[in-house]
Amino acid sequence: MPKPTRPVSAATVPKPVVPRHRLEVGTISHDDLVQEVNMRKAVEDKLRRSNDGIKMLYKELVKTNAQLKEFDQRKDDFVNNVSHEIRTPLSIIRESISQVSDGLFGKVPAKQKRHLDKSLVNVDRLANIITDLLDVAKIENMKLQLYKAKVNMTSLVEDVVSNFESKVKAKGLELKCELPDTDVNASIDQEKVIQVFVNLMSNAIKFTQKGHIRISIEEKDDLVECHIADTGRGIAQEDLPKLFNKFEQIGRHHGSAEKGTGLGLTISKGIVELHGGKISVASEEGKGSTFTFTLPQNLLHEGVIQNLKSVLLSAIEKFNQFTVIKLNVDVPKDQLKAQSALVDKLIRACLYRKVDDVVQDGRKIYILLPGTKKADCTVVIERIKRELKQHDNAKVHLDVQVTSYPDDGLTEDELIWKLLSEEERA
Amino acid sequence: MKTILVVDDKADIVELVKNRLEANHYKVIVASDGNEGIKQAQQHRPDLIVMDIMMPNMSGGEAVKVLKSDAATQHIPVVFLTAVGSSVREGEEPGRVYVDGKFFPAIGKPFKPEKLLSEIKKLVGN
Repeated sequence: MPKPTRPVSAATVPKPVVPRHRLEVGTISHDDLVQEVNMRKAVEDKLRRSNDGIKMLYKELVKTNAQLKEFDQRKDDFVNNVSHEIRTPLSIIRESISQVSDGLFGKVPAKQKRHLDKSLVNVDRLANIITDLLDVAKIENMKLQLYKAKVNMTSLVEDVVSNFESKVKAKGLELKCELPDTDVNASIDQEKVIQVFVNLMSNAIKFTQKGHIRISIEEKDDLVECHIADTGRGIAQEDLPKLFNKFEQIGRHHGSAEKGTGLGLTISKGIVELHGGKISVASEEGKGSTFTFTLPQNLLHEGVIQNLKSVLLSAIEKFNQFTVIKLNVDVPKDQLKAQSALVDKLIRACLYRKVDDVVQDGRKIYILLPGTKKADCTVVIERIKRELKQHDNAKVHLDVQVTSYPDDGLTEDELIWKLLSEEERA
Repeated sequence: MKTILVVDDKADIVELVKNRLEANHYKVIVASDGNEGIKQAQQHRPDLIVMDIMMPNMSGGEAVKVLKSDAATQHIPVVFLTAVGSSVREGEEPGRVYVDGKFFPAIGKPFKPEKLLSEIKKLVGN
């Protein structure tokens, strides 16, 4: 069957074209011709109709999509509003009880105080459930926002652990903390990561009757690996796969008085994964459990970029033109700390003007040269190369990249984008 | 005696926070939304502001933006006291609220009065 030679659009429907040469050859009868023309017309009609149909469907889809988006937004607003609407009366209840209990309106008999304090504990529990539910909803909708900054994980863990010391002691357990002697930095959302540690620590203490809780962190390649191990009752093999599911309270049938929301591990997993890390558990019933999670260090991003951004922004405000030199310093990782101080010192020695600025982060060094054109910065680069070469100690290989204002970008964001490598942009 | 401005649209919360702070020897002035909060802050220059977030007319976040861009009020420390979101989860430490590129201490509702008081004490003394 003959096919139309062009795609048909509703706006320009091609007239049926009968190939001339076939007429000239004269081998087609008039009836055949009429039949073919009719057939083509029918096909075109059909195509036009289906094309109109597709257009209508597309319009419908656009409309439905907009409606879904609005619905999604309304759902988020609703969840947030419900949380807000529940928390407000809860805080009025809590603080009213608390003020009575604290004797702000006169002395309270011990028996009454006991009941008031019991109410307070349960208001707090209710508030925690609401917070957890909201967190899970956000994690599931990919709406949990991370506020990342460069954080020293060693001191973060020290802080968390110190908050648990009395609780662990009260239960007669031993608290072991194995931390590196040095800072272990990572670009993370501090509050959220604390939440993960607190969740895992609370669980460990809750399910351990004797023995110890051990916390450790270590640097592995570009990851920080964190372990929370206990000598508690452990988890049955068949329960392990369900562990990170919502509302899964494995310990509940043991009949002890643990009160959780059943959401802590789901939230912890969500937070770790949002950071680009992984969480896992190894456990043996009766012997204990070890939870392990990793967090990528991602040190190039966030903190440094933020710093660089503000340097660029003030340069844009102050100078008509400037150039940024980016040096990728190639140093073996174990020498990075020792070398970076030396490299920083050598580079600063090469910069003669007060206005020149250096932003350094590990292997990347950004040098800001105000008032300098792109072509004129080679002098500085040569000077730096010479200086580094003269120092045997500085075993570095330099990879240089140059970006100028206003030639390469008019805003700090554009300039940063130019300066970052593809993997850094990700 | 240190003066604290409490900004919240819920009269019950304002009353309770005022009560609690006065019992701890602070002088308290109040406002019921962001606009009024800015006026009160400019007029009375309090030593600290306890700020709700979700309020009619002008939110706490908007108000803080204005206060931080005004030379007369930008030095006044702010503690958010809010029922919004989980960024202010009631943990061992106060949470944080992010306004205009800066973090501010935040205490989630329902709040523990000892947390509110210790945060205030940290910022202005008592």
